Amino acid sequence: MERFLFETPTSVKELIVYLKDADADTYILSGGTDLAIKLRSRGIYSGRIIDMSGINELKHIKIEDGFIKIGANVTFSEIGESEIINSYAACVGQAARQIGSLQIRNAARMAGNVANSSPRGDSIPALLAVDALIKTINGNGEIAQRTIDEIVIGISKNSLNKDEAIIEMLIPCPKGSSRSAFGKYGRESSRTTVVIANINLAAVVRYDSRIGVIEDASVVIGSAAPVPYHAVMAENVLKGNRPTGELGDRFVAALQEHVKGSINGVKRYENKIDEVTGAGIDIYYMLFGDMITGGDSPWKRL
Amino acid sequence: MYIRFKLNGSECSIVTDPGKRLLDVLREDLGLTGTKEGCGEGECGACTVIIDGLAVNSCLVLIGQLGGKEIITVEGLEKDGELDSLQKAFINNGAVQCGYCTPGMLMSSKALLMKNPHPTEEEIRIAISGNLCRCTGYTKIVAAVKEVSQDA
Amino acid sequence: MEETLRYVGASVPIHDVKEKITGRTKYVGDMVLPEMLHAKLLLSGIAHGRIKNIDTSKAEALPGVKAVFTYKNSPDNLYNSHKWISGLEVIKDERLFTDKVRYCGDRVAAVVAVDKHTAEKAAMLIEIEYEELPIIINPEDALKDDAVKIHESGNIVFKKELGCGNTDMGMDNAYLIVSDRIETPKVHHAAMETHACIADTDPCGNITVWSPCQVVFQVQLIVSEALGIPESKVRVIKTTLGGSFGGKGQPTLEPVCAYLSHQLKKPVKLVMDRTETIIGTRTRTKTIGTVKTAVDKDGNILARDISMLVDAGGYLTNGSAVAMAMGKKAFKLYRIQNQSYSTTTVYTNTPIGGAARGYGSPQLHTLTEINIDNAARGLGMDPVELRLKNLVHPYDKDPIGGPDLGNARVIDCVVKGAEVFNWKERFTRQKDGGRFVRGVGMACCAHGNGYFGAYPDFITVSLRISGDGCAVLKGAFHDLGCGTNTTMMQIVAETLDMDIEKVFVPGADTLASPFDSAGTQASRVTFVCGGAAMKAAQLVKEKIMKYGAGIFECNIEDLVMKKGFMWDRRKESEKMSYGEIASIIQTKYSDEAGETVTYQSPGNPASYGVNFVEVEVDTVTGMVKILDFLAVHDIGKAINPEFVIGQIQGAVQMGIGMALSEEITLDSKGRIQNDRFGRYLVVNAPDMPDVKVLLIEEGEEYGPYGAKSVGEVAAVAAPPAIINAINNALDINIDVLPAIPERIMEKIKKKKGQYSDCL
Repeated sequence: MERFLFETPTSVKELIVYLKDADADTYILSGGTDLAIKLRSRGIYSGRIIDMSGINELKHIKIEDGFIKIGANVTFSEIGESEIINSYAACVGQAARQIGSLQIRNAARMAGNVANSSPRGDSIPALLAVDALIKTINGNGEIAQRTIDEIVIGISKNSLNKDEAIIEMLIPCPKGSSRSAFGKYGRESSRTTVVIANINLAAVVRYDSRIGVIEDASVVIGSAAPVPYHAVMAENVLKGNRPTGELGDRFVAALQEHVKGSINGVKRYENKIDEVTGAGIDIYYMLFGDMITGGDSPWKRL
Repeated sequence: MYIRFKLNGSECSIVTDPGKRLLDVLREDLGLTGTKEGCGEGECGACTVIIDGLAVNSCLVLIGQLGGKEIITVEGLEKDGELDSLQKAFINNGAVQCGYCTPGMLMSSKALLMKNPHPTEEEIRIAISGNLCRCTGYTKIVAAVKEVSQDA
Repeated sequence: MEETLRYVGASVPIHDVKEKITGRTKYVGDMVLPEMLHAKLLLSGIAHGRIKNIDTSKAEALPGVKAVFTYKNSPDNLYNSHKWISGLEVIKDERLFTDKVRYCGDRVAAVVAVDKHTAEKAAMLIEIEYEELPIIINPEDALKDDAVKIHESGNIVFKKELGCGNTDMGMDNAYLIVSDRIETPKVHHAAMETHACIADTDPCGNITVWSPCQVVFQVQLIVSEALGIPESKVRVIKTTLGGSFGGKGQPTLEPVCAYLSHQLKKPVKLVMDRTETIIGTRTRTKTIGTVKTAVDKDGNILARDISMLVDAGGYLTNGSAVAMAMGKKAFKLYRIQNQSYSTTTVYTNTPIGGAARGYGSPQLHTLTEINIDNAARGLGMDPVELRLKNLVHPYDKDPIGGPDLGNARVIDCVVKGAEVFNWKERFTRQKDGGRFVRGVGMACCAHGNGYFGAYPDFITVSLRISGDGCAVLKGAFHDLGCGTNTTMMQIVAETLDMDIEKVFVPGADTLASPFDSAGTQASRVTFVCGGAAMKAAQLVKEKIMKYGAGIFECNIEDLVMKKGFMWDRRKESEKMSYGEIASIIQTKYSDEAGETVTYQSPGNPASYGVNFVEVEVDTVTGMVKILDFLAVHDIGKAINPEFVIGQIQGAVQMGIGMALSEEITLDSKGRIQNDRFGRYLVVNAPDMPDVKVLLIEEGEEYGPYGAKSVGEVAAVAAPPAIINAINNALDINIDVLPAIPERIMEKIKKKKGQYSDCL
């Protein structure tokens, strides 16, 4: 009779042992909200499941060695509610709070979202924007650190080896005054919650609070291409400038250019241009709403 | 696989395929059919149960994940023949029509109230944003949860 | 003498609330029968093609599989699942399993196995080779002469015209003619309970079907026609419904499941998942409508010409009936002397249309009510004012000879609603500048109360008081979750003046319930079945009064019946309970304290709804937020106001979906793109406004205690009201529903210049 073999390691040490035997029929369960669907839709009735949820040492959100460290066993609900995340990586917290429904967020883990590498995944653009590193371990106990774009390499395609599991996400602690924001629009409807992204956008800016100049900017567009990418033109618009209404126009225009390039004239993706416009304006006001001087933008909510 | 967990206050142990969904175990192996399936992908919330104090879609949880956990289903809300205040409020507010979403709505609302006894209307609506109802337009459901939160 | 009502007008909780709230209610999917087998359907993955070869051997070889059925080993009796009563003329084009698939979702095969898991697995092992055929997705393409024929008879299945006066003449005299072309979508009913069924067969070949259905006698009829067995060999028991909204109106799984059980002589359970329910059952019928309305300078409607192209999908079902139902509604809302309606129904290679809350009324009124607003815009008039000039008045006649409109109070709805909504001020308010723009809209609608005037409309009910003082009302009642049984209990308890706790109304069962002509359809339940319940209660009351006069040795006029007791008004101390009276009637008079009555519907008045809505549109993304919603309904009398309000609030949720997000979309190969809730988005709690409800209760002569229908009419006015509000906000003209963000953006962009400062 076909059955699953279910392993629940309780430590990273034990995890290594299980990973050692990993093969094509081994599935790493990190929350499981996508895996449970995948097993059914693909008619998979047997194999080995390694459930990460028993590893208590990966259930942390902490600041250490200049990084905010998120263990692989932390749920989106916990990330969304974390004071550390919301203080130092607000866009990651915002993304976490906009994933699926509350029931999904209570079970799903960010590590699983990254490994899934869905082009519409919400946490990936946020993690890319904050320059997160993904720490993995394999069956030989070897630890590796890779950037998001090294892990997420295609539509639902990651670079993880079969015997490799994500154990931690590392976000460099922001230097100086910085802010970040995340925005998202779902597809084909006016629904505002529990939507799969049609566009998602994350931005991190560092600014000089005395003179109000944006020193550095990291802006990532998701759901517009097979993998999320840095909107370099939009970043350049922001860098070295003061946040004015006019700069917002140029920021949004740059985002539009990026998305236009990504969708390459495909008509059914054209709405992504409007959505990135909306998300761009939303984010711009989240980042700079209190700093903008002079002139009332027509975008501002009345 | 042998799995032990706490179900509606009692110890429970079963031997089953660990790859089975919690939803199927509850409904098929344990006869607890109060928990419903409406979509099988975590979008409708009809299968919501409470695991260790949190609302979760039982269609997205494999029974292998449940070892040592504490689960509450709709059947566990009534205590010694006395309805939970939330159940009473659902009756008083006319929050039940066809009743199919009701168990999930109750469990999502219960989980919210366990964590936050006095939620705002927005918090209530977010807590049940993953629970679809086609009958009520949600107004009476929200009113029921509000009633309990004001009494508490 | 002023009579105070005890139960009618009271908000009694739904009869099975305690079981539902504790999870104890057994829906059909929760039921388990001894030795029960499990079935899984295989639905077509292509939209049009002949099956060249179907290989079931691998599936059959899987351990645990009991049998696999396809067109090769099943009856080829044709039927039409829409047929609910014998004698109804229908085009029969559906069979249990097809040899030619006509849409993605068509039934190809079924596997029966010892468990659900094995059945699912085996279904994946069936191999099919198709000869693919060209496909038709757009109903307009189905009209073309050279289009591929989906059925032998051709793609145009039905054509009909209705009319009154002289439309051309009216058009000639017009000051302004306003034309619109509006598309409405295929919508999934989205009852939370997916489609499911159990059938069992006894050694004599008698089949029992447990089904969450709307018409047990229709299920019986269709099972008998599909299997080619007598109706008397089929018993159908209605189970608790987890919602229907028309989706479970036509038997889809029942004939299949009955056949599987009949072949295997075992109980068989067949449960669809959400995807199968979306693609493989029924949908709201898609329409492409055009309308031309002629008005004079003052806003009086001189003439109107409506044409509806109705997309039946792969099989006809009610494609002609719904086309007619739409047409008839066009003559019940405004006083239009000259009006014509024409309709054409076609086949396409798309999911099958069927009954859906409102039965064509939302499609028709979406077309006409958007058009009325556009006429008002054209005249520079307040749309409320234009409507008030033209709406029907109480006791107007139907100009095409349909039943009289009865106490039609739509004008009251508009006047009172406009006042409560503060319409005038909101409508004339200066539009906001900037990204977010608010607008207001309203719409009116009409719906019927049963089938009187169109189809047979009667129900037989039997009401008896037993020796323990309980009253049981037997009838084929199908509560869909709306409170039908409770409503009947309220009517009986009120009429007999007894405690409602002692009134029982069991659900429909073809073996135990007397015959009913139409089930829960056509907004007939409260009006017709409720009328029957009241009539039966009156007859029982008369009967026990008659015997009571003998028992108490007094005149009937001296008898008092109150709260379950009867007495001679001069000797209250000698009162007897209804139970005691019933026992005496049985022992002393050899009669029962009961009556059976076949109640024919006495009329078919119209129910009216008027919705007012305020929206806010994001001009950057096209997202729409509903800020405020008021639903005003002319319902005669609310038997249970909480139920009525609940019905309306839920119906508006469906209406918002149809207006803003819900549409079954197909790719160029006819595959359904949004075949699950992750892609097919219904409105959830955070986006749903608190719908305010205002009831106009002026009483309907023929309704029980003055009541008329609400469940369907409540879903009709929301889509056009919302579209009108969006049009009002942006001065655009939405012509395809749902108004998803990209369709709104397209319209905004067409209005060049005006919003350029935002983009």
